[in-house]
Amino acid sequence: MASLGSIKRQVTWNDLIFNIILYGMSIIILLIVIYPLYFIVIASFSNPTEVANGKVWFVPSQFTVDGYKEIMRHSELWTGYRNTIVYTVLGTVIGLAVNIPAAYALSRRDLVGRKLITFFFIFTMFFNGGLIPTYFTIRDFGLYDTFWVMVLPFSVAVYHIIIARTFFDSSLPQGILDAAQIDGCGNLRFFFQIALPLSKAVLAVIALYTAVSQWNAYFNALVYIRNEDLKPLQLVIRNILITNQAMAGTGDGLAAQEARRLSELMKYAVIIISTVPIMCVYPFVQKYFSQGVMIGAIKG
Amino acid sequence: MFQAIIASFQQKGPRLFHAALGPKRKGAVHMAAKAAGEKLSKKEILVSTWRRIARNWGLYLLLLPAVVLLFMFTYIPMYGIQIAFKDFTPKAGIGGSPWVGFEHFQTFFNSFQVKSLFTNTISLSLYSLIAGFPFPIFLALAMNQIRVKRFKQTLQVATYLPHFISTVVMVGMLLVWLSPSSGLYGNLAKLFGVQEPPNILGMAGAFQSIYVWSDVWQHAGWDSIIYIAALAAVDPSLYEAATVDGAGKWQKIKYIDIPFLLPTAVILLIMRAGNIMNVGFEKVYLMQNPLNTMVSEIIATYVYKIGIISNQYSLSAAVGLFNNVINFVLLLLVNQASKKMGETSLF
Amino acid sequence: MKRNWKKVLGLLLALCLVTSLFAACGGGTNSSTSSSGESGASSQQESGAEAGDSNFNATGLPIVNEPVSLTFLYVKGASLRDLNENSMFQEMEKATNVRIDWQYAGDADWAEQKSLLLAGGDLPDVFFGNNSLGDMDILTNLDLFVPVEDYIDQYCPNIKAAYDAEPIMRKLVTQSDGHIYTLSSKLPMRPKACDIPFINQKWLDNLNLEMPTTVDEWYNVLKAFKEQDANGNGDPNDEVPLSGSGKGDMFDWIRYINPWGITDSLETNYLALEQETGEPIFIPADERYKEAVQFFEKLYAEGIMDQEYFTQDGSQSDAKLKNEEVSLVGTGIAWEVSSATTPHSDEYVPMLPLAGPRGDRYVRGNDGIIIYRRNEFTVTTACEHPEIAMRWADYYSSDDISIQSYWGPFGEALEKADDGTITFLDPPEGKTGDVWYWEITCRDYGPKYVSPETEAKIQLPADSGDGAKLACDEDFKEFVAQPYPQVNYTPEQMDEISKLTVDIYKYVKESWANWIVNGGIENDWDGYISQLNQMGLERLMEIYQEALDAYNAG
Repeated sequence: MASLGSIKRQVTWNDLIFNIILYGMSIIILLIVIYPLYFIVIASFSNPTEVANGKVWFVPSQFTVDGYKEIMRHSELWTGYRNTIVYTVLGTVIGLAVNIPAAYALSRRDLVGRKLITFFFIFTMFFNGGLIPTYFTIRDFGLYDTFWVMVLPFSVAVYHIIIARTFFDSSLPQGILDAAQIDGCGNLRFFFQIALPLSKAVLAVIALYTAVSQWNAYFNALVYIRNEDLKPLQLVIRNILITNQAMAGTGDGLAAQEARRLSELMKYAVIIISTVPIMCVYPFVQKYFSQGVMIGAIKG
Repeated sequence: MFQAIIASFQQKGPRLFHAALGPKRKGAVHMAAKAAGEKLSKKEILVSTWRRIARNWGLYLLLLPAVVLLFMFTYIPMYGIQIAFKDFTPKAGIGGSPWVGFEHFQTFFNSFQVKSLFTNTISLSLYSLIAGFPFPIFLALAMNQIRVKRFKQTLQVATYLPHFISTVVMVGMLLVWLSPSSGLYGNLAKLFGVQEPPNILGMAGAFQSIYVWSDVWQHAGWDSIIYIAALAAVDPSLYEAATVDGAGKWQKIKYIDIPFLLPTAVILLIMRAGNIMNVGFEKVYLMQNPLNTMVSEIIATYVYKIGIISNQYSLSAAVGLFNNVINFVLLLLVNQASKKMGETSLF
Repeated sequence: MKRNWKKVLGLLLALCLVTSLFAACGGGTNSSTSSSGESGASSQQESGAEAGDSNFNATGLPIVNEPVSLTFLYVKGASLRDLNENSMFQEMEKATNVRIDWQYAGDADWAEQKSLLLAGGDLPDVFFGNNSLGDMDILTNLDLFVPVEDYIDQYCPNIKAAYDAEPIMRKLVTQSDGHIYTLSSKLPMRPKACDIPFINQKWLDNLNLEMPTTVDEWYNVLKAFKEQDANGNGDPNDEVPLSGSGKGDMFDWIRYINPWGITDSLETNYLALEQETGEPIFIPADERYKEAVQFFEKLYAEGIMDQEYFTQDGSQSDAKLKNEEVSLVGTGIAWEVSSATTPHSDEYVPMLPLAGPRGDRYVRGNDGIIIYRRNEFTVTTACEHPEIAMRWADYYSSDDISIQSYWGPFGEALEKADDGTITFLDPPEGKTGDVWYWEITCRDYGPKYVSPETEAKIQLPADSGDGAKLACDEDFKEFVAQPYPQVNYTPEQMDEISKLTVDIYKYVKESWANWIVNGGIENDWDGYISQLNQMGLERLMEIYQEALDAYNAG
């Protein structure tokens, strides 16, 4: 079959060009992305004046670990770290438990009132009462200044529900449900025993998104938490970094400048310290994104 | 030849292209009656509906936690929306503050800046949407094709890392790099022989581009995660079938990957459209300077500035409400349009 | 295996359900959905015995017989250590029997928390320090605060004496309704002049130039700086004669226009006072401002003014001033010259105010802001015994405590001799005094008064920031003009001001930056003024005049 042979050759040639372009572009992207990250690392070890003056390019300028030392001085940082870890783990578990089942239920065509319920959820993405009434509500339910306020009341993320619903919609073939129902499988059982195991990818995505947003959360703590022992990492960090305003006065010379200098010094180091943990999580989650996770189920 | 692939795909996984399709599963009685061409009485429809609800009680149970939480913490506080129509003072509380109707909306619309506020907010948002939308998809498609595992993982991790840089630091870095005297920009320009490069940070025309493209740089990687996850669900046998049919990599992307991502992409686009008025406050505020405020003053920064001297609870509530209404209307419109085009829709 | 998986998830789901219900009911309902915070704070106040008349002592120490606890809210900078470790406060507690329960707020996002707190949270007994509540916060929430003028008369001899001796202290805190809701403070050993100009003497010497005394001489000097190799490193192009940051607002630059005959009030309201008539001037609408802008347009066009002036932030302009290898900046304005210009501070000297086109020589200053502060101590309606709080504040305003609160406790930062002389102890290794004081005490914040006699006994080290500034001030204080004072507005006035100024300030800033960078002020000026008037400038000035009249009368 001469034609098949020539098609094959043509295809291989196209593929080669494709690969060249693909890898070429990827390397460029990698460099564009990596350089600023590298910059942050070396800036965290540099004299902030040198950084602001643009003297830092490939190596730290006027190497100093003062930024890190200054950060270590703030013991409340460690409390914040501990709290955030707890909030993240708990928040992710609760977030999954609340959002994923709802997403599955909403993906079922035969749910009576599906449109209404979906609307009920989506409406809240646009309209809410505002900070003050929410504040009162939280207080009235006794959640003010407790650790629950960080993980429970705002755990419903409609955005995540929609994403997960789309996944369930497009990746769970109708055929499986039909077969299961014929076998007399109830909804709950189907969800837990069939749907969930098939949806590892979306579970991983939502877990990751939830974990990261918990990790970065500070606003709710700002509003609803007074107890120093419950404050999350990002809140503590903000207080440390943006602290110089208290000393600005009308230019109280040395102290204000020193405060500014310290804040600059710590700026980059803080990013490293507060981001490294969450960065380590992704590789574990990554395996759920590899191809063919669903094969077994469909074939079965 | 590719139609064959698509057809076989549809047999295997009917949902993969048109998520809105699929038979509605009404009760057996209902189906039978329809088949028989009879008209059902109201009572029978009601009964069959209740039966369906009762049969799916498990689904409602799954919904319960989310619904309860939303009700308690989002719907109950909604009585606070009236702040926008009152002259709220803390001492009077919400109940005791007097009604002023649309007065705050009027104040807002009578402001000298209102027209530019709208233009700036919407144009920045649209620019952001259009520029930022394709890149995560593009990245996901590209990464899906990379076979060298180490490189792929490095690329993935590297692209999502910038997402974690805080806004304050991000803008600080931008200011340093784009400095015409000492930044990367300045030094590159000098390298090319331009001794005194123009200060792009001071150019109002450049503001939106700097804002948008630094955003793309920062978030494209993270946003691509969801597309990567979506692509993970593609049945590899499809690729095999395509290869047998002689499809090259380009064609595989075009006929398998992209359609597969389409439902997710459309949903995300709809939701972003529903956020059009919500341009983030912090980054714009940090990037503002007197030379670009005619372009960089957006609704959020304006409301912030009014609130500095005096706590304008009601005015900010009114503006916020107005923003939300526009967002919502836009969402409904885009959603409708998407339905009409036969693609996925939000609801 | 699958069964277990299901069980675990099912359990989790049930757990969530139960927890959410539990949280709803278990916490109970404090049904104060729209309270003004009156009843809220009582849970935080542990009154030992009945803190009624029997417990409270109208004079002398202790203030109460049985210990009483008061909650103070203080916006604390991150470097300040816990005030409970401050030995001065510990001594105070022993002496007064009043324990202070410090609630710290981080100043990063205090503004958000503040509005929420005022709108219905649990109020503390006292807001401590002028960075916790601003004028407007107090003005729009008068119902939340306790008028204290009677308490001052009855229980506060120190404060009363201070207000009698320096009437401005009383004036600053008397509201339009005649009541006093907050206390003011007078900081010790303060200068009269605010920021002063400086110039690089070494550069002048390198180029054989004289110290400029007028703005034209200054221009010539700066031009020479720009064109020649002033810093002596062989590169004639790296000097930035004039730098700074105009990115956020005009207030860095507004310090330069004193030679043209106007000085600002140190507040962010663009107001000056006509020296002869005492009328308020809106600086950006004044002819003298126009002249100054034209002058600076020339500076910018010729590259003398930093081309990045409007786009760089404070840290970048600071970095230029403090460049390590060689000095880069020729002139500037700062609170205190040597600390602003390290590491090359030996090259810079203060420059006496330049004379402008009409020979005016001014430096900005405002007693009402540099020396006297208000909103230092605000008693809320949550406080059950304002008299206790006020007596505490009075004790805090005594000489000794005031001094210690500003620099640090006796024995740690200061030493008091038998004859009353106050000397300063060395700060710990590696720290400067100024920085250290901010770590150990609340410094500027809190009511304070040091009588002139005691102030005379304080021996400030000449090399400390405060000391250096005072020494410098000797040469400059004669040039301080009369500023628009820190008046008191009514809530209606403040509301109007905030609405008018948003548009006006934006327009002013845009025009200012545009004229300096692109020129054209001559042609645009008339249109600019009429546009400002359309935005309500005339009404704004009326309000300022009314407030000034009320201030002068009262």
